[in-house]
Formats: sequence, C-alpha cells, structure tokens
Amino acid sequence: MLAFLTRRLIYMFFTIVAISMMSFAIIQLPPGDFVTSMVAQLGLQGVSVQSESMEVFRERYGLNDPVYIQYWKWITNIVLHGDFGYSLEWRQPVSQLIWDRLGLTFVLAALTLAFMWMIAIPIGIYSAVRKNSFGDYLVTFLGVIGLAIPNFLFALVLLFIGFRYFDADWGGLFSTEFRNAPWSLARLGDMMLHMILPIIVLGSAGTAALIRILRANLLDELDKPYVETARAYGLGERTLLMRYPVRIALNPLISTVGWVLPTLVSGATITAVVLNLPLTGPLLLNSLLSQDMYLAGSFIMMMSVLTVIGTLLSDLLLAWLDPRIRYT
Amino acid sequence: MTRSNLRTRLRTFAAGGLAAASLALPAAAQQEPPMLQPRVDAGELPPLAERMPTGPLVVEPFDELGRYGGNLRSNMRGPSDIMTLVRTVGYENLTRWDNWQPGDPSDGLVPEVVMNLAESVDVNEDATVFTFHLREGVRWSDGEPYDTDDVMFWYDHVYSNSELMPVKPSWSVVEGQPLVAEKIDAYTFTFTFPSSHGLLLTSLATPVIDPDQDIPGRPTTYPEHYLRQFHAAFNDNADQEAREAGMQSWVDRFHNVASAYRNPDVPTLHPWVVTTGVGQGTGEEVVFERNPYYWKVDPEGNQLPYIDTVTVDLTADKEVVLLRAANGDYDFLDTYIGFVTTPENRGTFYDNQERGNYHFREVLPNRANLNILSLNQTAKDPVKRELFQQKNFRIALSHAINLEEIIELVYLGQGRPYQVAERPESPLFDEEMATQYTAYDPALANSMLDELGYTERNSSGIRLGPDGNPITIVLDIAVVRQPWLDSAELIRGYWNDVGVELVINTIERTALWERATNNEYEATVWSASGGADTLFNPRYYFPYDFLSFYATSWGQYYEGNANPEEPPAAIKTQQQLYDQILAEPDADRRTELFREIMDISKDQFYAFGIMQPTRDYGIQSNKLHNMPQTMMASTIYTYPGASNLEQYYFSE
Repeated sequence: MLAFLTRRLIYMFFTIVAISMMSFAIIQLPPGDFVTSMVAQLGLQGVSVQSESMEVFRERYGLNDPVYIQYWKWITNIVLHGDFGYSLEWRQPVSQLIWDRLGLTFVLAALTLAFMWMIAIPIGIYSAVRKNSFGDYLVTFLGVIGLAIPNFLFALVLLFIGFRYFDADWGGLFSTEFRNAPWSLARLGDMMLHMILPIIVLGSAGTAALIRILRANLLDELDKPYVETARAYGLGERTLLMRYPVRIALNPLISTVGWVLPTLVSGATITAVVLNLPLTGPLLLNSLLSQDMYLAGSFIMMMSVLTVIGTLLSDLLLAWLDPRIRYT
Repeated sequence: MTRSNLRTRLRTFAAGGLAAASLALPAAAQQEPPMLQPRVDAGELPPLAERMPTGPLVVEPFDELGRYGGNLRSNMRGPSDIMTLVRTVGYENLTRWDNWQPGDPSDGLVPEVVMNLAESVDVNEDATVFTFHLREGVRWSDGEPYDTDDVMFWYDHVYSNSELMPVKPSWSVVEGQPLVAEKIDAYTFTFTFPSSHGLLLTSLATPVIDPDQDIPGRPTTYPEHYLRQFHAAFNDNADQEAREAGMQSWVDRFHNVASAYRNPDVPTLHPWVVTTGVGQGTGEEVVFERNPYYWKVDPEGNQLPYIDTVTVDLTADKEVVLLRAANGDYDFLDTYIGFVTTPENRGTFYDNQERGNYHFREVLPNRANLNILSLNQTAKDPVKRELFQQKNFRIALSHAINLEEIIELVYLGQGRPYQVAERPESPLFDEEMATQYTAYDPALANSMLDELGYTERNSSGIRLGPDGNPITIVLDIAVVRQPWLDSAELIRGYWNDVGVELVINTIERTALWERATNNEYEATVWSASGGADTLFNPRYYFPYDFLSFYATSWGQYYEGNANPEEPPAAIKTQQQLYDQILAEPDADRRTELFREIMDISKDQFYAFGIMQPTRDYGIQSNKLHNMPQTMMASTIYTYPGASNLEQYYFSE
C-alpha cells in the first residue's frame, strides 16, 4: 500500500507540472492579451485609449515578455512565495480574490454531492431491483428529464418563477443584509437557505446520471452466481443486496468522486452566472474572457490540483474498498 | 463667439461662483442630514456648519427640494466597468457639464461647461495660461482641506512621475508638451501650455478614465495627506510594503489605494464614499455612503446629497439584469448604465411597468449610428483594396441593402435608415448626408456594378472581380450585439442578389481589436458615436485612429500608430482641419471647421450606415425624483452625472 501511495504521489507531481505548463500556454493562445481586451471593452463605450499607454501597461506587467519567461515568473512565485500573482482586471492580488470563493464553492460542491448520492443511491437500487416496473419507468423518466434540461435554463426558469409568482429574488448566496456582514450563525443559516436552489439545479443532471450508472451496474451484479449462492445460504434479501452487489455497484461512483469535484466547480459556471453565486465559476469565466491571465491561470491550476488530489483520494478509497485494485 | 467674448464668458463663470457663495448665506439654518445626526451627537463629527466651505456650491434641484434618505440601486457589468461609477457617483472635476435639456441654447458642438471645484478660471488671450481659483474651504471626505497643495501633489508626484504616469493623458498635452502647473497661493494655481489649448475646460468636464490606472487621474482625486504614505518619494519602504500587500510594486499599490471605487480608506470629494469597494466582500456589489463633508447644498442650505447610500450590483449576465430590472430591482437603468434597455427589450419593460413600479424616460443617444458596416479601404489584399476604394462600388452596395426591412425585422421598427451622419439635434446635421444612397434599389445597384465592369459571373451568380475571381467579402463581426449578426445575415442575402458574396465570420471582440490593429480584416461592423462625442472622437468622419474601420492604416497614419499609410489628399485635409479644431478656443469657429470636415466626409462616403436609433429609453423607479425625464447620453458628456445625482431624492 505504501509503494502504491508513493508511486501515485510521484505521478501526481509530474502531472501537476505538466498541467501548469499546459494551462498557462492555453491561456496565451487567444489573439491579443489583457490590454487588448480591456481597450476593446472601453471602445464599446466609446472611450479611446492612447496607444502609448497600452504599451506602458504591457511593459509594467511583463506582457511583452516571451511566454516561457512569464510562466517562469508566475510559477516560481507560486512555489516559493505562495504568490499567485496579480489580477489585472480586479487590480488585486489573485489570492485575495479566490480563497473565499473557493471555500464557498467547496461547500456547495460537497453539499451537492451529498444531495446527489442521497437521492441517486436509493432510487438507483430501487429501479434496478424493481426493473421495468412502473416505479422504475417513472424515475427513469424524471431522471432523463433532469439530464436533458440544461442547468442554466432550469435556473433561469426557477428565477423567473420566483420573481413572477413569489416576488422574491432566489439568486445569490446571501440576502442583501448579509452580503457583506461578518460570519455569524444567522449568516450561515441565510446561506444554507440560499443554497437549496443551486443544489437542486446543479444536482439534477448528476443525479440522473448516477441513477442510470448505479442501475446498470447493479443489474449486472444481480444475476451473478454469488448472489444466487448467498440467497441459497438463506441470507435475507435486504442484507444480501446491501452487503454484496450494491457495494460492488458503488465502485464507479467512488472512482468518479475525483472528477465530480472539478465538474461541479467548473461545470456550474453558467448556472452560477445566472444565479449570481459568488463562486469560482463566474470569476474564472470572466477572467478567461478578459484574458486576465494570472487569475485564469491560477484558477485552472487550482482546479487541476483538485482533480489530481481527488483522483488520488478516490483511488485510495477504491483500493481500500476493493482489495483487488491494490495490486494492479 | 470671438476670443474676447470667450474671456467674458469665463469671467461670468467667476461671477456665477460668487453668486453661489452669496446664495449660501442662510447657512445658519442648515439642516443636519438625519443619517449623520447620531455621529454628530456622539462627537465623532463636527456640526454641519464646521464641515462646510464658506461658499458651498448651490445646486438648483431639477424639479423641487428633496428629502433625505434612501438607497439608490443600479448595476455595473463587471469589475472593469469602472466608467459606470465614474459617470454616476464620481463626477467631481474642476469643471463640469451644465445639465443640458432639449431646447437649451448651445453655441458649440457640446453643451456648456460650468465651474465645479474651481470657482472661476481666468484664461489669457491666446488660451495658453489658465488660472484656476479653487472653491475655498472644500474638504476631503475625512475633513482635511482640499487646496492647491493637493493639486501640486498631483502635478509633482503623480502627473510628472514617470513611473505613475509614464504617458500623459491627451487632454494635458499640446504640441507634444505636457502641461506645466504652478502654485500661486493656497487656492490659486495655473496650467500653462506651449500654444493654444482650445478644449481644456471642456476636457476637464469629461468623465474619462485612464485605463492604466483605472481612475480619472485628475488633480481632484489625489489627497496628499493620505497618499503620501504609499508614494516612493515619501516612503522609502513603499515598494517593500506593496509587495507584502500582494502587489507587484508601489506603483500598483498607489494606483489601487488612490481609487475611490476600490479603497474605502481614500478620502474623496464625491457625494458618496465607497464602503465596500469593487472586489471586496463577496464581490457582488459596490456600496457607497454619504460623504459627511460634501461641499454642495440645495438653495435652502441643506447639505447634499439627499440620498444616503448607493448600491451598485456587479451582475454580468444580461438576462439576469433584465429580469431584475423588470422586477423593479434597480432605480434607474438604460443603455449606458446597466446596458439592458435595448430596442428588443422594450416590450418586456413595457409589460412590467406596474409590477416593477418604474416608468420610462427618454434618452437622447449620442449614437450617430448603431450599426455601421465598413469595408476596409486599406485592406492588405490589393484586389479588395481596389474594389473598396471605388466610391461607386460602395454606393452600389449601399443601394442594394434594404434598410427599411432590416429595421423592421431586426430592430422591430425602432430607428430610421441613416448613413453615418450627425443626428438632427446637432449643429452639424446634414439631411442629405444622412439619407444619401439609403434608397433600396437593387436594379440601380446592379447596373452600377455592371458599369464598373464586373459583368461576368460564376455559376452561382457571383460577379467576377478585377482578378477574375468571384467577389467575396469576409465580414468579421464581434459578438457584441445580436442585431449586428441578424442584420448581417439579411445583408448577405441582399448582396447576393446583386452578385456579391458576403461571408460572415463571428469573432470575439478582443480578436477583432487585434486584427484591426494589424490591419488584417476586410470588413467589419461597429457603431459610431456622434453628437457631443464627435468633437473628441471623430473616427467615423475621417480616418482618425485604427478604429476607423473603413481605413485602418490611414487612421494609424494620423494616430502615429503601427503600420501607418499615407492617405489621399482629401483625407489629409480633414486631419489638418481637426488639428486646427483642437487648438481653437472659439466654439463657433470650431463648428465651422467641423462643417468643412463633414463636407469632405459626405463626399467620401466612407462606410454604410444601417440604423440610427431615434430615441433610446431608460427606466426609472416611480419613487425616484429630480431626475430629468429627457437626458442626453454620450461618452464625453457625462451621463447621467451632469444631471447632479446628489439632488435626486426618493419619495416615501
């Protein structure tokens, strides 16, 4: 197990190095840079910018340097000083911008994951065991609808319903009076209330997918000889089900934990934009659009590290859950 | 108006200032704004009389005296959209625009300029030396006095500092020489230029921001007593401290702490002071609170602003802004603030008036044209260049476009067919220029193209160009406004009917800018400012900079930018005329010179105008008062700041 862990850690290191280079290079690919983007934005409002001042700006932030020099400066600052650089658009250090949002994003991701599992596992098991029953068809139908409706549209429709019929703004993570207040129990409660809607919206598609996966896996397992054997030994139907086939059918769920996190973090972008959630997604999207490269780079980097760590965790979890995996 | 006339006019500025001072005499009866009373009672703030200057500026309410209280809600698009804040809460300069109303006499291309933080200005005969007299006793929002020393701090340590301001803003440069400022006494200073600066007082009234610093960078935004500690000239550790704060250098930190929109600690002269800056808190909103030392009063001597707080949401998604606006979540929004009151959305806003408790008001847009298709006459491809430079080719294609239909289908009938020309309110309006070649006449277009000799066609009916290949024009459209794309689709059909192929290529805005800078496009679509903006931004009337999309390289020639190319004589004449305008202090003469530019531009017929929005609209909460129901909006005419937001008020 130790050798397994060491090996994984070494792989992880190289993966992260490669990702950091890739992400920085990709950000540099679109034509222009932050200054072009800023000037274009001002141009839309009719404001002209002297070309010399654009040059000065590029000079000051080293945007004229070759990509590898920019990369080197950025990565050494992260590694040596924990300094993620300076957001050109917000004119603030990146670290001041992301931690709060990352924290909230994690909370939301974790709650959504919990929500998805809580709904998906019982329903998945039910629809596998009662295959082709009315209940199975009903949940399949609902699941497919959940899968088919784009999250952002779902969110927009719910927002509209809120405005139109309840005269309430369901967007945001905090009510107006709590937005800039310090943390307190009341603020936490307020946030939890506001999280219900995003959790439902974000969880709907994932839940449906999980139900399908679990159902398919479980169906494969249910007909296997060991189930028959256990049944022949007189094990109760429920104990049997939960102790053996379900455990195996859960494997894919666990092995995907690693990328459920980043999917929730980045996949929720448009939904978060629509619902006006102070999460990482909208900030990342905006930084990519405005080519605010240090902010964007740091985000992508952070997300990749999360994915890698998540994958490692799920591998360890799997290895612990299923001894067969440890030795492969 | 002659030059001596200008002098008298500037004298009357001074007289106006004095009148304001005498009006403020009932100062003894001044009322303490209720929001500040507890702080005065607690001894945290001196009483009102001690906070006000001896001669506060008296602001005439637009309709009536207001009452204190309320929170003004609006929206900005994102952290870069600082202009929205500059135009609303941050409009305090040495001079300001008069609140222009339809029918007001205006003897120039722009509305009148009146005094603001400067109480008066003396200008010498040839407009090279400007002597500013500051309003005495004005205080920063922390109670420290604002005087010439702050102006000189700006001049010596910000403006003249090659790290903080390596490029001097264009308003301050004449013949390549930056301005020279000199202190006379505590409230008097001079700005001196090497030759006539016709537009200084006007420029000072405009709401520009210096994108390098993201704030206006004017002598009214740098409180010396607070900012010294961040300046390398006064603090040897400034750089070190900046790095500890996560900044790259003291320069970044200085610009950052000097921003009245980001830093709650920096004292300002604005009616409202930021308490949650851009990017602070959850980053969803920017919050402002009344400035206890604000130096303007209503005619009764009540300290302004009437409204206690301002909340500006940072919402990027247009649909969400629309939803909220229709729900009445914002007190005012239009095409310049919030950007959602488009012709397409008019119906939605109309239907929700009662629910949202708001009403429509009129915005006179500065837009000469909202949708202009430019063929790049300086395109790199010699064949395209030859085609596009033929005026008859352009005229033919203009006649081929069915403008009425585009306006009907794309803009739901709102707007009128218009070339790139001034709006009827402008002194430069020319009916013929606005309507030339707008008639839909495909037969005429066809015969004109035949006359040019492009009679042969390929199997799909596309004419063959001078090099024997089909005439195919690639149109790069930035995905900024949906109507641009929709109308381009229609134009593709119209042009196809006369044998010219249009290929539509949608690109990101930044990519278009990059292509324009390098002159690597054939055709594109953009909108043009007109009205007041024409004076400072004439790029659609002659090649002025690289954004003169119909002739990028000729524009770059004037701008002195990358890949310049010498333009034909007529265009050079226009460029020289514009140089004369910039130096001309007399407004009438400027208008005359501009007419000459316009005549050439009419003859040149640079680009195809599609649609001029006759009227824009904005929405306004029914509870919000003293906001003019018709306003002119423009980039350089500060909209809505010129209407004095400090005198807006809420009814119960």
